Amino acid sequence: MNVRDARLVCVALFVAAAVTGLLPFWDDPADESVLLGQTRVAAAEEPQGPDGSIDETAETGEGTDSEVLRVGTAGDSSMMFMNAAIADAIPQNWVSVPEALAIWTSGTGGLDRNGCGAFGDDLDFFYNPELGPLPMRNNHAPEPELTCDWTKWLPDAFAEMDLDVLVVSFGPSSMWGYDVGAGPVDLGDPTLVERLRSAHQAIALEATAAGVKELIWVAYPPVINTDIQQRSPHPQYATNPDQADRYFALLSSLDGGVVDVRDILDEQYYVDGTHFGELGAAIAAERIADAVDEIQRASGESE
Amino acid sequence: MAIVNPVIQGAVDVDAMKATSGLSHVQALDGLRGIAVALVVVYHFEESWLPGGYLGVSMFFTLSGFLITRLLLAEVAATGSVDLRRFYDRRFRRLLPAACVTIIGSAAWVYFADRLSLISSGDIFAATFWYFNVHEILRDVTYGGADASVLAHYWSLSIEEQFYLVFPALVLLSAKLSGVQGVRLLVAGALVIAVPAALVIDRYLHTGARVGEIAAGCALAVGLHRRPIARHDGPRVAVAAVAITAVVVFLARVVELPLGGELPSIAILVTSAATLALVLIGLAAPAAAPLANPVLRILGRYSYSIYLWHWPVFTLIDSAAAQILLTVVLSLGSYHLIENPIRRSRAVASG
Repeated sequence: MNVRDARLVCVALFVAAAVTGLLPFWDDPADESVLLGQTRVAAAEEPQGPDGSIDETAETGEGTDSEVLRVGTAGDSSMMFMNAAIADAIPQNWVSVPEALAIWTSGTGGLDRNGCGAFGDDLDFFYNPELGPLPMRNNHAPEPELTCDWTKWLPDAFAEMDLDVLVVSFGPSSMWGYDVGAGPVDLGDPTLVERLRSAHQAIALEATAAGVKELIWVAYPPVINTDIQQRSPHPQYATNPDQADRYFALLSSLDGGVVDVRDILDEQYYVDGTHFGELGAAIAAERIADAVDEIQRASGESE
Repeated sequence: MAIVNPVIQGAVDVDAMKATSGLSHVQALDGLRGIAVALVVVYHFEESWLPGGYLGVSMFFTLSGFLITRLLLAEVAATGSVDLRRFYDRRFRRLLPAACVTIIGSAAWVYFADRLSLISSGDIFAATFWYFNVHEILRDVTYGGADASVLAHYWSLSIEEQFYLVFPALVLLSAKLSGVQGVRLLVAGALVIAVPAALVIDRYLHTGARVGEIAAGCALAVGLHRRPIARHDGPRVAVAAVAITAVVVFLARVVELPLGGELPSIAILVTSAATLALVLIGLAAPAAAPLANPVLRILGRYSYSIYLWHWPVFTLIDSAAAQILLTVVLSLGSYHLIENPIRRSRAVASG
């Protein structure tokens, strides 16, 4: 090849590459994906209601116009430590829990309850060898009553808050060993996996029944608290990355998107090795904000 | 203004000049490229194996700064000027075709694989027009972050090409003002500004934060200009090369990229310094092991093609074996069918 031909090839390829960028099919909303954390989750082909039926509201565009989405959060103490950062990241979307509803809340603006997981009061969990199996309700939640039964509070709160998007984080309290009848088992146990899936689906059902259109599940990292690692009788549980991976897989099988924050592992991102500090929460909140932004755009394009 | 030999000006044969000024091909520097691309590819293949494999990009930056400055300085010394048209022509023929084919090929692949979320028109424009790092910064995307485009690796090529675009023009200006001395002052000034700038800007993808690594290479080229390097083929050189490479690999094994997209400045500084030391070793022992060993040299020779294709392949294919096989096939194809024929094109004989 001579230089003149080489130059022509260069110019031709350069123009071709630029023209590729002009092709309109890249922005086809029918192929829009929702990007959530480190996972790209394809948007459902048809908007579905919680029972699998077509959601006519979404299909006709009612309520999914370009209005700003109302976003709230729910979960255990992990959510508690992310709320402030999420509120900062999406101030226009953020819906704080009304004071009148401050029952299932730590006071950081979300529907979170310290020490309470998606199982509610159903299962005992294992945290400390000296204590043996513990009822979840005995963990940290004495007020307003000694219970983790979220069904008493969340459905009413969902209805009152009129949310479009609900961000849910039950990570730490989902990855412990639980007693399903014959001693502690972890998320590798099919019975526990199915029960945890059902518990999450029940929350999703309540949320969508109250008008929530999209759920964002937070795939939490394993606990890195060395104190817990030393005390835990079953270090394969909450401190084990495999547990976090299994939880991620479980969340990915649910309706909704998953924001993956499993890679936020360094001590500098934590206050105590279990809950995010300012830095960790800011990174997680940024990913949640990206996910909300994608949902906002997708809802605008579906008009 | 510098006095230029009117006989030479405008008629210099850069290839002949390279042959007579010690700028001929150095096998050990191919090996250095091989180390750099291996670090990056392993990092992208399985991050947990080399969490700091991204440092390979620093090696590329520093090496590019060195090679380009060395070439430009030789031209300035011989002609008192820089033939910008010739420089850009050669750079474009070297870099542009394979980069454009990768863009077009990746876009087509994404389209037919129905993975449209992995690319956007903005990505394609940014990769084609060399501002991908700016594009990512404006979208508030951090390297290694969530929304990795199939063209995400063009961020580093963009920084290199921004350098190729601006630096020769500055060298020409400096040379016109005060010859080689002007180029020396330019590089010294760039180094003085760039290193603190990296600490202040502290963003991994930011051009301003990465100029320091390139400037370090430029500084070595200035320091070595017209200074013959004694040959030192021998076991001590080999041991030094292995030890320095081990330091880089150790860093690549332990220094994770901060999740917030900050620049791991110390690790990058050490990598850049290690690269300079390896360049010196390579020049002192151009054909000596271990830098010039065949595996690294082959990797180095194909490094550009490998870098271009490995990321789209890794992003679009799940099977590890298929990832490796396809990266090899596409890199070979890109090098032999596009990169090399166009780079080695010759002027048509006149008359």
